[in-house]
Amino acid sequence: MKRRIVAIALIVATTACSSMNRQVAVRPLNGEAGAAAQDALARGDLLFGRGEHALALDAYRRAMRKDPGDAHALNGVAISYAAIGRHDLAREFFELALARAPQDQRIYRNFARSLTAQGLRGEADALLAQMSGGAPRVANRPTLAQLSSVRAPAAATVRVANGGLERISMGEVRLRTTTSTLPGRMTPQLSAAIVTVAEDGGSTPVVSLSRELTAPIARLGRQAVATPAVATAARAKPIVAVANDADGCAVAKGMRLRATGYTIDLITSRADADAAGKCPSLAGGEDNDARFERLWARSGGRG
Amino acid sequence: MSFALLLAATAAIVAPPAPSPAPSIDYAKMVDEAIDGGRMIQAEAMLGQWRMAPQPQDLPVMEIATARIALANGRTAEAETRFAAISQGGSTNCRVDEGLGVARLRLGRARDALAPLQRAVDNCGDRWRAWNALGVAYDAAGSWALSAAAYERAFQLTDRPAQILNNYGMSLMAQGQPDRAAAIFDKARELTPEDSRLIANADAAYVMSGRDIQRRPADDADRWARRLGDAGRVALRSGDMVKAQAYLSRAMTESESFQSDAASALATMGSAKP
Repeated sequence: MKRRIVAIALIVATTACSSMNRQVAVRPLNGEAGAAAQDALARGDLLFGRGEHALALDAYRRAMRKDPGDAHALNGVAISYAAIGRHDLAREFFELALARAPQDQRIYRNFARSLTAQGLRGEADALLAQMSGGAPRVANRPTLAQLSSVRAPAAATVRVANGGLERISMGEVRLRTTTSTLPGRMTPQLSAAIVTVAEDGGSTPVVSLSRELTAPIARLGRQAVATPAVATAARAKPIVAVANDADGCAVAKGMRLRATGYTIDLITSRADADAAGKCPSLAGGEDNDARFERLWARSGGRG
Repeated sequence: MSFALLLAATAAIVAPPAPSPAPSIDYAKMVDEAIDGGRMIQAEAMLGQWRMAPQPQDLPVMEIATARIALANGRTAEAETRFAAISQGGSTNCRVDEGLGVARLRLGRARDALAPLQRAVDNCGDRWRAWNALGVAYDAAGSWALSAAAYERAFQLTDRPAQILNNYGMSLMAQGQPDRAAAIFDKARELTPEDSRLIANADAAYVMSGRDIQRRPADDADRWARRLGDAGRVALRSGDMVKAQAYLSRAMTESESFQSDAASALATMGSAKP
């Protein structure tokens, strides 16, 4: 009985396999996770290129779950966090990406930009110096003795921009500033200037000064104040700058993101590389490099 | 036919993907650079990768990296034990002497830290961390001229000048020169304006040198009140009761929440009056 069942099963199996009309596709089962990770990476690249950084982050994280050691996914998560201003979270993923691809200069540059955006210029310079294999460039500094020489404290009035607008009528507001003459003490001071606010029919109010402001205007760092026209232009188009390194390869100067003003290294143009394509590229081969190239080309960063 | 097909399918499943040539990575250098740069996540991840396929000659270097990571992660006692064992094994690596010295400083053993730190700077004069730690060790011994020279070397070598400025400022405070310390802290605050440790140290230097502290635009009412309270306590410790009372009272009145520390300091002053 058993022999008969085995014989029937063999015949059925042989018959099924011998069909010449059926196409049989054979693929390894363990390749599914890899394919899903590649899909998620491609989606992340696409979304990041469109400026949809939160969605790109989700896609990159999905790719990272499939392949936790993929430097492309880790770098994608990092730049997405950096693009939405979460440099604290970006740092962990930049470090993990560097651990997986320690010779990828683009990860170094992106990480350095994130550090610079946090005001950590020294750390960024040190990182870039490590990337290029040299000692960090240390500026000629005065000596500690020179720095510690005591100067008389300046008696100048300290002005602090801590005021605000106070509405006087439907059409007028008064600009209030505060002045501090004593350290730690601020005295409110009402300026005499009247600022007229008029509506131009659009959603954005137009502010015009009815007369010259006499109140002191505090300077907030060295940040330039953008005029509305300049700001609109800046929103319309990311700013891209490219330069060539000593080897003639395109090196990224970065793309400034619209929302946060944060710059990302988004160039991987190899058009001007030598015949063998020997420009510095992502460790791990041409595959990964091509993926980065797609990401950066879609992001409008190609020079 | 079917047998051949089955064989082909099996081969397709079993055959590994073509191995890509792994780029040669100098793990020792990379891990060291990551630790020096404060990138501990990268350092630990790379050390883990390194351990997966170590070469026999890598093992002592990996032990040094493990000790350095322990030190950087605050496991000071473990780091000191590891560094001491490596040093007793005859290592002349500057990082070992530097790590041993720093670990002993953190454990409060400044006298024991001097010898390894001096060895570190003798053998590797470009290690700013060793010079900085040597400055702290000389401060602990009261050797002010030697500490100033060590800080100077560290300051000219470092990529983190604010850290050296802070330590030198503390050295000047310990020498009773708060005026000069305040100037140094001001320079450090220009480099890292939001460093709360620098703000606190600068406030202490200002109060000790008889100058008023200033509110920063970034200070909200509570933060400013905490700074006033700290200034009051520094004035109290310096024996300037009038200034202490003024600062502590302002901390109470200018805060939007109850400042318990300032209140208790004021209460202490009240009870101390005859």
